[in-house]
Amino acid sequence: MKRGRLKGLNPQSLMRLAVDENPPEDEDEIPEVPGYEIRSVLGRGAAGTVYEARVKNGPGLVAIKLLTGEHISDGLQRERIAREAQVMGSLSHPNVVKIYEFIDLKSTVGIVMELVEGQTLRERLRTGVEVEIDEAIRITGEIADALGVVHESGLTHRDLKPENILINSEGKIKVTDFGIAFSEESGAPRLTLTGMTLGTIGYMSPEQVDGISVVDSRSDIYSLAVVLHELITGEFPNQILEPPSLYRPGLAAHINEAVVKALSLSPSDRFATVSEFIKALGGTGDGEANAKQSGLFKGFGRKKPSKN
Amino acid sequence: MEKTGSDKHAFQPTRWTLVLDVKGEGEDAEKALEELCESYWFPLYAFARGANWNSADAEDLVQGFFVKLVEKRMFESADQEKGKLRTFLLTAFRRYAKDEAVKLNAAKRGGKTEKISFDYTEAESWYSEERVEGESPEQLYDRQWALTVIEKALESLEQHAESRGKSKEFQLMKPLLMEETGKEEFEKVGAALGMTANAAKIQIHRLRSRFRETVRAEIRETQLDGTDEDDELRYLMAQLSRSA
Repeated sequence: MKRGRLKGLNPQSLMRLAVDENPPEDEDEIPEVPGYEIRSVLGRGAAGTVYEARVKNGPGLVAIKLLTGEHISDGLQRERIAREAQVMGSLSHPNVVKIYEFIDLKSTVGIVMELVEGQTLRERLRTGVEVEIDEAIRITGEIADALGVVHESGLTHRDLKPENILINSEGKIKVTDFGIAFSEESGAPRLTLTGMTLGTIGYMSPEQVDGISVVDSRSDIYSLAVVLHELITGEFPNQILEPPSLYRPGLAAHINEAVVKALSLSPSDRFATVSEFIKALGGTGDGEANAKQSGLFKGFGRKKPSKN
Repeated sequence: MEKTGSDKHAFQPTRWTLVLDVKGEGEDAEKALEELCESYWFPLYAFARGANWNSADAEDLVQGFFVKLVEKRMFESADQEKGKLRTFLLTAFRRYAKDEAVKLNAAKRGGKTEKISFDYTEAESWYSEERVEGESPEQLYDRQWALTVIEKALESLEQHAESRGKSKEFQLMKPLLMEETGKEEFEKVGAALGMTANAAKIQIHRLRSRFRETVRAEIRETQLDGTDEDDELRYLMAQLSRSA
């Protein structure tokens, strides 16, 4: 290997990219939550930490998401977590993580929710073990079921990505993290910081990235298609997305076509509802290929991209 | 990668696990070991120079060490080194350097066939650029390994871009990997590539994600299966912060 690639770059800044954005807090920062005994840290998100806790005077285990650090005094973050509690509380579906209560402590605010024992879809993908197509479709179908109820309630999730999709020990899918979900009826999202795009760009629809266009349930369909694309190809969405069949040559044409259509740049070229998308994946819908119109698949028809 | 049924949740063996499982025996393990060693030669060279070996001796030491490592399978102590290749190599190298200092057996050191391909011609100039006053050889080694990990990830991204005929795009976007970039910079890079600022933003975000995944994968390869790479990443981050 030749040296010299780091010229003009700051290695610290680059390494920071690879390190988890939210370093662990000291143990003594773990807060007291009346009625619960916090046992361990399950994970850390952008503004909060999720703990595993035992219900005092009861055998049950729960997950508690609390705002941490500087975010505790951030009014916007407090409003977002309250909003998440409200959204999740309004949804009742086996594929959506259940919420038990919203807690407003003096020190912080948080949500007590169902503890899902298992792994995130991101952790599953990180094992590097190829996901069978049938399994990818099953996972997508369960996420779609959850999204279906979200959309029927007039909401859009807006942050669908493998980190927010949990797989319990029985393999069942649970969608979580509704912190930036919003109501389609109420128009543009309120809970955003000036100039800040919410969501994770690799999974965000073009209209969500540009921050100007209207974002509706078809944006979630796009994100779901990115997740399915990653399940099929094993490729992190960090480049122009190629049709998945280029990575899995044996992939059924109707699945390839449905993914391509769901990833169309224009929402009107995608499926109108998640159930239409799932129907097309099952081979019974009209998952018509729309690659040329989408403009996303500039590599369409090229040889299979090389994978490092 | 085709896996079915019972082993669906198994980890892919990392290169370091592959080597340790068979104590370096066999073609696959040897290849994996050689690939791992190629990443470590400069950190070890820098360590030797930092420990006051002259440049010629440092070169002989590193080469001799890898010859011995690959041919003599020195993995007896590996299990005690917390599973990390970084710590195992440094411990084994220090032991080897100590032995060599006593023996001063230059013929043996320099006389073997080279197992790993290094670019020693530039090692000295890198070393003089990289050394930091007051840094211990161990700190130098760790910091050089951290830098090597970053360089390898950039190399991988560069090759990936090249294979897709996107070298120009990559070179323009590379500086934007580093930090939060202003709208003007996205616009500038976008204009140079004939795309909107938003499209450039997406591309750069994807490049950052790919970089992140590549660094993490690189580190995983030097650890045992299923070991969390976060601790090692934070350790390497600290090495870079210390020198800043």
